[in-house]
Parts: sequence; structure tokens; C-alpha cells
Amino acid sequence: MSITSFYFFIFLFVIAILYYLIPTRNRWWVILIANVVFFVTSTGIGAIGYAISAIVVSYAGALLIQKTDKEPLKKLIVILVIVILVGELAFLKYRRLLVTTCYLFGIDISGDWVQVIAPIGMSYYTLSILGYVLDVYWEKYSAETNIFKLITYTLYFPTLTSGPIMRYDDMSLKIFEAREFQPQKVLHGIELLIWGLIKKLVLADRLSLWVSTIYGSYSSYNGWIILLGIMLFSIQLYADFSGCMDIIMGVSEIFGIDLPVNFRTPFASESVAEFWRRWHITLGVWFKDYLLYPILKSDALQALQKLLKKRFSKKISKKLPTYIGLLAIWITIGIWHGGSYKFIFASGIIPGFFLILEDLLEPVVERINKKLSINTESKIYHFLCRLRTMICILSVWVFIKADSFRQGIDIIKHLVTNRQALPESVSSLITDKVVFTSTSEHFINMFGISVSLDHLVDIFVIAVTFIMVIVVGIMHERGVKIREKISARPVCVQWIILIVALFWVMTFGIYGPAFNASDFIYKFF
Amino acid sequence: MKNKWIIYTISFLIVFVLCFLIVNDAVTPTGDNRKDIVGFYHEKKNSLDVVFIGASSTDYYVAPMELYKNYGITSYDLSAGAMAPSLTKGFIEETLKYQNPKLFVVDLRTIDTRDEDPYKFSNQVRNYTDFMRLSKNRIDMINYCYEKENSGTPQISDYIPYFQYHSRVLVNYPDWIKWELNGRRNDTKGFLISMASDPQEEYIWPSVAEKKKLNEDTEGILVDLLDYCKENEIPVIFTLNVMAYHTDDMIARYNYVNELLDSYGYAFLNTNYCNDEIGIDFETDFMDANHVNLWGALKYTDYIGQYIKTNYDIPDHRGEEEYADWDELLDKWNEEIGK
Repeated sequence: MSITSFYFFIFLFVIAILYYLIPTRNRWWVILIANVVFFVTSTGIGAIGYAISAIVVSYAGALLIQKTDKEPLKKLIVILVIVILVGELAFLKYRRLLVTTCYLFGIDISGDWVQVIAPIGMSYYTLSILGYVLDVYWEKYSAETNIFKLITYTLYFPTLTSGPIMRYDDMSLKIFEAREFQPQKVLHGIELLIWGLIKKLVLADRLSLWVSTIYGSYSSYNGWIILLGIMLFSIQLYADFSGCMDIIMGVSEIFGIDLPVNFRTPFASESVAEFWRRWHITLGVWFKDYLLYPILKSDALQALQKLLKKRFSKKISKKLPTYIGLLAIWITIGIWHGGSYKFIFASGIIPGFFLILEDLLEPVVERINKKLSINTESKIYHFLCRLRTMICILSVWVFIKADSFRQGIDIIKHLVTNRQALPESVSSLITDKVVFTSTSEHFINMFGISVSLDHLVDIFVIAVTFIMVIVVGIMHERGVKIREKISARPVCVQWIILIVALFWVMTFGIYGPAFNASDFIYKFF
Repeated sequence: MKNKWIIYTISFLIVFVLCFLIVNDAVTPTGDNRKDIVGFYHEKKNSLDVVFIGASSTDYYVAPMELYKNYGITSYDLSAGAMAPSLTKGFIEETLKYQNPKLFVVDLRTIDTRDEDPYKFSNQVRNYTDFMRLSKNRIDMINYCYEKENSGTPQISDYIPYFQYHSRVLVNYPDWIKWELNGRRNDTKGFLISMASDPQEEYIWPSVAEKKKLNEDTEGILVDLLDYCKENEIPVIFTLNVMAYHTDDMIARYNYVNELLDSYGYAFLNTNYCNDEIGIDFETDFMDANHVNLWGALKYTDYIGQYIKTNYDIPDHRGEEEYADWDELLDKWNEEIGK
């Protein structure tokens, strides 16, 4: 069940009504039932076995860890749980990568076992529940004794599609606490849900058609058009993912449950490091807390640090182990994103490399700024930093959209070398890009290029929606609480805003029989 | 506090639904089909004495304004191109909600088409139901026709056209405004004027004794219609309008249809055997082998008008105060057809 489908909204409506009819203490049972229904309708009943087995293993493992006094036994249990959970995830997610890799060495291991379907949200709930077991091991809180509560937390349905990755101590308070019905909160949740739909169905899905057209025939377009395609993809990816997050958070807010923020205007970042602290926040924090810090605190790296301090300087002894840790987690992040070498490089190794390079060059940049007396507080300097960050990010994302790493290299090559006449390229792009309606009789001549009314409407809608997203982003960056500001306005103004927003997504959203169900990009991770 | 939110929510939903109905109307395509069907709803209640139902074999054939001019018969073509035969029963039901006609004239051209290809109309249902007023009858028609025309399962967008056409709003807007300003009237009462001319060879339908049984689905649709008309005592005649071609299977099928209609006590007027009476000129009166043009339509309308006047007691409304709007439209009609 897609979270942008009509059936999902019917499902949400029914669940919300039931939720608030049930006495407050028992409301989490409604969430549990909703989780199971959503899971089964999204992936099929066969896949629930994987999820339940992962939860049972974690439940039993956490209780055993808590009961045991002996540290070696605790460690063994944790390792066992990690191996089972990660093993299950690896098998279901990376079996095709394994087949491809073996094939490169001339070994054919393909078969029916490759066709097994991974359950929805597996990449996300595995991290959530792994974090829970590790937190119990590190004695942050006690293990959960009620397995149904653990299932409710792990398979919390709004987060199954694209996260965010939850923490048990934070979410359990919110999901299981008795809470009165707060109409204002429900309204805010609906407003956020609508905003997410605007970003996803209007901006991201309209852009995807232009991006697919450019990427589909990149060799025939001028380099500037290819650059446009890369830039449009970055907007599409942001709108898709953050739109999804807004829908998920809005849905959760309807039940009075606040989810952790996953995006904080990432395009306002002035460094690559800052970007990754603002983009997919919960993933970065999870890997930092559960992988990076344990790696840095590990005996091996502590020993290396001591050795480097003896042989070299204190600075190198701190930096090099950190870089090793960073590379390790970024490779893992790349693997987590997808079972292909494209993601290992584009979502893992290359961003990790940029982070390390940025850190290495920081003193050099500082010296240059000082030497040239550059005012680092000026608006132009901030703008140039943002531009530099975007170039680094876009150079990585060109691979995300490409079919393979090799194709990504080819696209960059064509970006630099393609010299077709720009007007002809623009005309080809407009001809190639699919139209939504039969408006062949409505054409307008613009700068010598024949443009259909359909395309003009499309460009207008994308431009207006994009401007709305930028304005909202700037307001968020300045700490403006938009939904509270709307609530403070007279009722008729609130209604106008709500109705315009609803009709904007209902009219210009990409959905309906003419289009395929628009899946979220991050659903496939 | 709780009451305030309940009032707020209900009020908002009412306003939203009203806005939705307006926007739903604005995005729905404003083509001939819509103008034909919506124009019907704008006729004065119980003002029509005859309603013609069918596909383009009615649209291009019967000119209601000409019928009124020559015979004083008030009528309407509740028809649209390639209209699936399974829609006929629903449209009769829809008519009876707003009108009390003394006669229905149903053309059966599409029976042969459907019998030849059971999937012919599978994508056509919404081309008519989209333009009907929201009602239980409309929902029933969608469900019935999707099943009968092998159209699969109806989707949400089949019941609520907005979800099919939502992206068209800026494209459809100019046509919609123009149509709204004209008060949604259909001044030709559903008739489509065609000045095109495609000379055909002189054509005489052979008399064939053979009867070919319809396939189960097609016969099922026809039987449902006949049972409905019989149970509700609906006055109806069935026609097959003139064409410039035939197949032996077609003639055999209509022989079977004739027998079936006869068993229900309904008349079947196959006008393909009446070319001389109608005065059809194959050289000038056709726009293609399947349809007459304006000149053919005027002759056909005159023929059917005479037939109705002779066999049915339909009043002459010319000059009546209640029908002054019809008299006023005659000038426009005459100007339209160049007389």
C-alpha cells in the first residue's frame, strides 16, 4: 500500500477514528493492528515471517542480555543477534549483488532463491531494532518485556516506507503513553501531510519525468541540458525524500506521536559535513552512535592511535583513526543504500572521501582566506560555500540516478564534451518529454521553439511549487513555526490556505489512471 | 472546546466539498459527448415528448429542432458517438428522473458492433458516465457497464471524474468558461451537424432470411433492456438507421434481433429497407459509409417524424406559450443549417 494512494488515506481515516474511540491506555493496540494490516497489504503475508523472526530474536536476545551477569556471555548474545539480524537483511537485500559478484569471477549461483521478496521497511526496522538491542547491552534502559509492544515499535507503519530510524527509549514513551485527543495537533499533522504530498506528488514526480527524459537520452543532449538534468534530479531527490518524511511525520502527528526530524534544509549547508548532518539525519546519527563510536573506541583503533602518537604527531594520531572510522561507516552506509556497486560508491565511498578531503583541506582554506583577507562572514562567502557544497553533492548524485556506476561516468563525460546546439537540444527535450493531456492543438512559439500548452503548464507548476519549497525552507531556517503562524490567523484565512494547498496537490499531483503509482525513491533502500 | 472543533471540521468539509464539485466540473472535458448529455439536464422538466437514444447513429441522424419545426414534436438526442449498448437502460432510467416522454426511440446500431467484438466498448464507458449527474443510477450504470463490456474493475476515478482529469484544469478552462456562459444549453438538442460529404455507391440492403443468434453477452444486454422496458411499461421503438454498407452476418443478426423484439411486442424499424421513402441520395447524403450528413439527416428526421406522427399520439407544441423557448431557437437553427 503506497502512502500516497487513496486506499492509504481511507485506511488512515479508519485507524485514526478507531484510535481516538479506544480508551487512551489501550490505544497502542490499534497501532499494532494498523502495523500488521499495513505490512501485509504492502508486502504480502509471506514476508511477515522475516519481520516477526527478527523481532523475536531481538526480544529474546535483549531479555537474556539483561538477565545475564557474565560479560562474555552478554557479548556472545549481542554478536549472535547482530549476525542473525544483519544476516537476514544481507541475504534478502544483497543476494543479487552476491550473484553479480560471483558472476564476475565466472561462478554462476543464480536460481529461484534470488526471487525471494524482502519485506517492506526491512532496511529501516532492522536498524531500529538493532539499536534497541545494543542500547539494552549498553544498559541505557531495560529490555521490553511485552513482545507486542516491541512489534508495535519495530513495525510502526508510518516509518516502514522510508524511515526515520527510531530509538526505542524515545519512541516507546510517545507510542505507549496515554494521551488525550488534541485537535490542534491532528490539524497540524494533516497540514504537514498535505505539504509532504505537494513536495512528493507535484514537485518530485513532475520533475522525475523531465529527469528521466534527459537521463534516458543523455548522449543526444547538449552538456547544459545534462547539467540541468543533474540539478533537477537533486531537487527531485530532496522533494521526494523530504516530502515522504513530511507525510510520515504528518501521519504520525495525527496520532499525537512526534517522530524525529530527518531533514533540516540541507541545501542551506556550507560544507559537506554540515550537509550530511542535515540530510537523512536519523541514519547519520544511528551510524555515528552504533558504528563509528564503537569502532573508534575499539581496542584495535585505540592501539593504532597510541602507535601513531608515538611515531607522528598528536594531530595525526587523532585524525587518521577518525578517517578510518569514517570510511568504514560510509562504506557501510553505501552498502545499506543498495545492493549494487553504484550505491557502494555513490552513497558510500565517494561521500566519505569528500568528507575526509574537506577536513584535510580545512586548514589550507583557512590559510588562503587569511592571506587573501576574505571576509568569511559576508553573504557572498556563505553563498560560495553553499555552491561548493552543492557541486560536491551533485557530482555524487549523478551516479544515483544513473543505471550503473559506469553509466554515471559516461554521463559526466557527455556533460563535458557534448556540444550540440542548445536550441535544438531544448526542442528535442520538449518533444521527447511525455505530455499528460492531449493538447496537440495548443502550441506556443517561444524563442523559435514550439512549446505545447501542456509543457508550459508543467513548467509553471514546477516553478511555483519549487519557489514555495524554497520560501518554506528559508522560513524554517529562520526558526519560523509556519503551522503555528497559520493557526494564529482567522479561520477563513486558515481555510483558504488549506483548500488552496489541497487543490494544488489534487490538481497538479502526478497520480491517477494516466500515471503509474509513484513510488518513493527511498522506499527501495 | 470539543464542539468548536466539530463545528469547524463539519463546516470546513462542507466548503471543501462545494469547491470540489465546482473544480470537478471545471476539469471534466467539454467535448461533444459532454455537451450532449449535460444539455439534456438543462431541458425544462417534463418538456420532452420523444427521447432518442443511441450512438452516432442517432447523433448525426435525428435533428430535434427540425422535428419541432415540421411536426411540433419536442425531442432530444440523448446519444453520443460509440455509446456502448449496455448504457441504454441506464440512460432510459436517467431520462425518467427528469422527463416523462411519450416515446423512446432506441437505435440498435451498436448491437452488431458489440456482437462482432465483445471488447469494442470496454474503454468507452466513462466517455458518457463522466458527464452524468452524481447519483445512484450513475454508480449502478458504471458497475453494470464495466461488467457487461469487459472493462475490468471500476477505479475510484471512474466514479469521481476529477481523479482522471485533474491535470487538465488549465487546459480545459477556456472551453469550460465559454460553455458556462452559454448556460450549458445544447441548442441543437444533442444533434451533431456535419457538412462533410463522401459520395457512396447506390446501396440496397438485400432481404436475407437467415437469422444469426447473438452471442450470450450481447443478447444478455438486449434482454436486460427489454425486460426493464416491459416491467416498467416504457413506450419504445427500436430502429436501425441507414448505412451505406452491410455484411451478411449483420443482416442475419438483425433478423434475429427483430424476432426477439417481436417476442416482447416491440416494433423494430430497419430503415435500411426504406431508402426510397426516406429519399436518401447516396451521392450527396453521406459523410462516410456509416453516417449521413446534414442533408441526409434532414430527410431522415422528416421520415421518422412522419412515422411517429402517424403511429403515436404526440402533441404539436408549435405556438404554445410553454414552448416559446423552442420557437425562439428556431431562428438560430435555421441560420445554422443555412435555410
